[in-house]
Amino acid sequence: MSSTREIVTLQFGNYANYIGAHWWNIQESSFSYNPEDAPSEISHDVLYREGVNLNRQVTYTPRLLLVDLDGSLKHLPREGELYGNSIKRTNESIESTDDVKKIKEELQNLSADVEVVEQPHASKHDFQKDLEDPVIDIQEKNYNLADNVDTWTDYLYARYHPRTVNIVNDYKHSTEKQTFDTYACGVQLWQTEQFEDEFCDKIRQYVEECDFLQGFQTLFDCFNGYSGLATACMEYLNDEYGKANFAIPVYSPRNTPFENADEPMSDSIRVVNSALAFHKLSEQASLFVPLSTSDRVWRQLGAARQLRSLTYQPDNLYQTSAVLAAYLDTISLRYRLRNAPSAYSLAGFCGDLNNYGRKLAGAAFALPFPMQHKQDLIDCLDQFEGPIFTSLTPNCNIGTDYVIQTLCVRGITRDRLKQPLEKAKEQMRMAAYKCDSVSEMFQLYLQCANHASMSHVASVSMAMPTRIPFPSEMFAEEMTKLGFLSPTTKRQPEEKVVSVPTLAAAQSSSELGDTLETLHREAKRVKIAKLHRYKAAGLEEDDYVDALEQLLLFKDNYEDNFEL
Amino acid sequence: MASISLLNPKAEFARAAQALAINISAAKGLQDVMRTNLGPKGTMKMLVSGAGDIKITKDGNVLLHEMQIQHPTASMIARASTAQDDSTGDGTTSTVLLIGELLKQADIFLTEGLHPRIVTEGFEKARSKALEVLDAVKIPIEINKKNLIGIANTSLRTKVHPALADVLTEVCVDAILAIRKDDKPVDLHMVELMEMQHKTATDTSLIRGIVMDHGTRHPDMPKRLENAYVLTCNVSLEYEKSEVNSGFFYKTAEEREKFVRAEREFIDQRVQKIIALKRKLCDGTEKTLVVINQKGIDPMSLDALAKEGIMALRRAKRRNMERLALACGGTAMNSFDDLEESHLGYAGVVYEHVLGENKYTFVEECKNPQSVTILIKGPNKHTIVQIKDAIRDGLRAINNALVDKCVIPGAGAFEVRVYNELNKYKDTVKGKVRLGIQAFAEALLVIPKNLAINSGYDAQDTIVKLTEEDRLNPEPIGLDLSTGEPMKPVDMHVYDNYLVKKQILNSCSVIASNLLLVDEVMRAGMTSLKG
Repeated sequence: MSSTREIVTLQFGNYANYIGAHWWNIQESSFSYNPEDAPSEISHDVLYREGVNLNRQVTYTPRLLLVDLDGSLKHLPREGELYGNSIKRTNESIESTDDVKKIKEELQNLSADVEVVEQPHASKHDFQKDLEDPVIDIQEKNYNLADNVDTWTDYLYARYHPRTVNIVNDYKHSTEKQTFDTYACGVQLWQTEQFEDEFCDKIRQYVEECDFLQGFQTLFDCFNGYSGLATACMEYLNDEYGKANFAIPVYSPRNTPFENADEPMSDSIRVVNSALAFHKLSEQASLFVPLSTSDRVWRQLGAARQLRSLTYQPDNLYQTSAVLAAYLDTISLRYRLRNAPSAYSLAGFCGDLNNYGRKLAGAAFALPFPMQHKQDLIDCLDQFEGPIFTSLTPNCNIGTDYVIQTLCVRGITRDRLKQPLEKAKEQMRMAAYKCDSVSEMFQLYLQCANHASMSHVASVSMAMPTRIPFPSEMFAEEMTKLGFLSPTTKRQPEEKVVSVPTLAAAQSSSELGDTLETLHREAKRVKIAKLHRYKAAGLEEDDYVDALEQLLLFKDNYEDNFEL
Repeated sequence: MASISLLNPKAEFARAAQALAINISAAKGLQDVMRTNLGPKGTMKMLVSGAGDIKITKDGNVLLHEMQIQHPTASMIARASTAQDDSTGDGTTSTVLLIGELLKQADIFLTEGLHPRIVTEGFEKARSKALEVLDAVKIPIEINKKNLIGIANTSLRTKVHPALADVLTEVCVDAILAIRKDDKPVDLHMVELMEMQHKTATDTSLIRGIVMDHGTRHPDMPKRLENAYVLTCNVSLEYEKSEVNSGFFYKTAEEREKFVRAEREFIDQRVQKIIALKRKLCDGTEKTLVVINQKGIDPMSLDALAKEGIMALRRAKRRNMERLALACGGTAMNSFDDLEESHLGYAGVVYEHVLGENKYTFVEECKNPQSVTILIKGPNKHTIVQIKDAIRDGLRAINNALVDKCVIPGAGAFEVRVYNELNKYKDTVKGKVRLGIQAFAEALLVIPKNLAINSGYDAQDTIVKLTEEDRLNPEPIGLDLSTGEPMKPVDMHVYDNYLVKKQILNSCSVIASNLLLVDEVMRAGMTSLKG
């Protein structure tokens, strides 16, 4: 009997799908198909499921449901490619293809005439074309994905189950203006048959397959209508399944204006959506960690977060989403480990951080973890100055004192910990020398670095793979192929970084009180009565005032006068 | 210059005749797309998306949803048609055709200088007259299989090809008759639609019981049981990790273990209650027990149940709990205290069917099923979707007939009759308003005309024959699509829903009048209103 502790993942919104696409890509590029390899430390069955398609081929697909608007898929059929049910399109007219001829013939035998109406063929990105060609090695080519990706399906390496993709037909996807605008619209959308019936049934089908469901992780765009849709869905999940529910609201680094709204109005709509969503999350989520590569997001976007040895275009969806996906991949390791003790579960992860109702946590990340290529961890931590990681939660700084945090370290093997006794020399004098594992050493480091704090550290020795389609062009030249720093030598341009060590943390500290306070302040300034579209979609002014008050109460959980 | 351009120089606008031209051309455009799909002989449309998704349909509503309509007028008409579908499930193509035709006919008079207001007054008069005719021609029906088949078949033949329509008709009518109790309104949710990508479309069938899209999750569990008690419940049989399980809170691993064991025992007791019940009722008899749970059942519990030969399903659909109680009898239990035989349902046979990665469980041979399942089969997804849409509409058509307790002769007979009646009526009306009535009368003929065209007959020829025949006969006369000759719909069992026709008359004349009265179309981006 297997004892996989499954998780169902939900992605709502275009940017969430950008991040999701990277995340599944990262996971799949770490799959090993060689039976002689030692089994991976990560249990992929937690997030993936095995299936069989109609041609009796075995499939291995994410246990995932995603929602996007009509027009965002481009070449990808809604049912995906693994289970058939769509026609392969080429540039020529569809009438002449064999598939269509066959269908027409069948129907004509039944005395029914068919008229074929076709949309223009959606062209495939070069990367996708090459994926279908078994001869071409995608790692050898340079696709320049950062500049020519139009949508997340362009660089999607992973393949999805037919159940996965859910398209909303009522709103159209556009990169110029967003039509799916308000939280209230999202709530309304949830009440349609497509979601209340079909979508919920798909969730149930996934859950039915699970033996030991840990819970759900919900990744969603928090600035537009998806905020309402996703939080309504979380409420349903709590009612129906009552499992741990880890939410990740994300903010796009590109502010697309809403339909029929100028810039200040678009900004106000975003603020209101965030405030309503955060209020709902404080009730429904077990834990939520907002993510963005900008340091401020409520109204205008702030500056891009600086990560050491990493450069990216601040408003590039493809690159920024990769950074956030790398964070998720690392932090989620805690509940994806094979043979892990039971505290290493999603409920444990959320439970560690959400004491005293502190359901909001901040994200902190080091990509790459700045360790020199011949250095030992003990020396690296000893010589470290300044903050070890960068915050990825908007309007939030890294907490230093009174912090409760959980960390995941990736890519530091035991032999990089310290020198053996006979060669130890200076290291012998350090207190950390007695630590025998990576997590132990980090624990000790954090004890010294953070005053009155509690930390949980999980560690995986395998580094995070960064092969194509991960944007490895973001890494500085001083990094080696394996992602360690080497300030003296420069990496050759044709040599790509294939993996990097990473360090991710989720923190609960009083800093988050400021996050909520800035949000509350901005939201309070918006005159909701002037935003008619909320009222039109069924949100009363009183509800909004209530939500803001609740948000303020939620903020009080982060006052630390009386804690610890 | 329109006043809007003083306020917003960027605004685009169209006035009077121009505005009307925009609306009429939009309505005509939509009409042209849909006209070939009308009626049983209409063509199907196969829609292929840029990525290769396929959809095959001739249902007006589905087509409208698939078309990406940008034009504001067209989308207004489309919305009227969707509303038609929401309330009745049929008549969507007719709605679009009729609105288009009303505008077209009105246009003839408008270009000659008639004021739109007069036309709409005529429409209004004509509509009330038409409704009178509708009441006059309606045929009260007895609720029996034969009558319902007539109405279901007429509706279904406009959605799928004839061979399939005949199969679906039988299925839909049987389904409704099975769940109908005396004169209470029928809850269509009690007909479950289950799809299986398998075999061919005509293998679609009615299951007098419930089919669920999941199966057992334990290798040793029985896959088929006969003579089975069915226990439906909403009780968790899985060990739920409680909130306080964080690593920080337990001093030792033993302490934690102890806590886990206590929790586990709690679940075990529930499982033991089921087992005790099974032993009490089934041991020594031929009977068996099936447990269908809305909540989860974890592998340990499954294992214990499997050892006793109990078949257990977890995570049943919420709505299926209600359906199961209706199909098999018994009640859905929320706790296992005081379980009794009377709480259980009964099914003659329960078995599992595996298809690729999907499992299906059939609960059949129920004693008096008041909830049934239509099992939709098809070789591919687009066929299944098409059938599903058709069945929904078929069920609605039957239900409408049950509610109305009457039907209307189909095959264009009603429209021809109204045409003749309106022509008589208009002579009694004074003034220019009669022109509006005339336009309305002409417009109604669009339905029989297109029925004729789609079947390959000459439109004028048909109309002349039909109107003449109608004048001579007291009974309404419709078009026989297989011969092109007039016939009596009642003889051929071609019926339409009363409700559908009524709704069409009402909504079309309102929308058409609204569009005619538009004298200015403007489009202006919203300016920011600060302050």
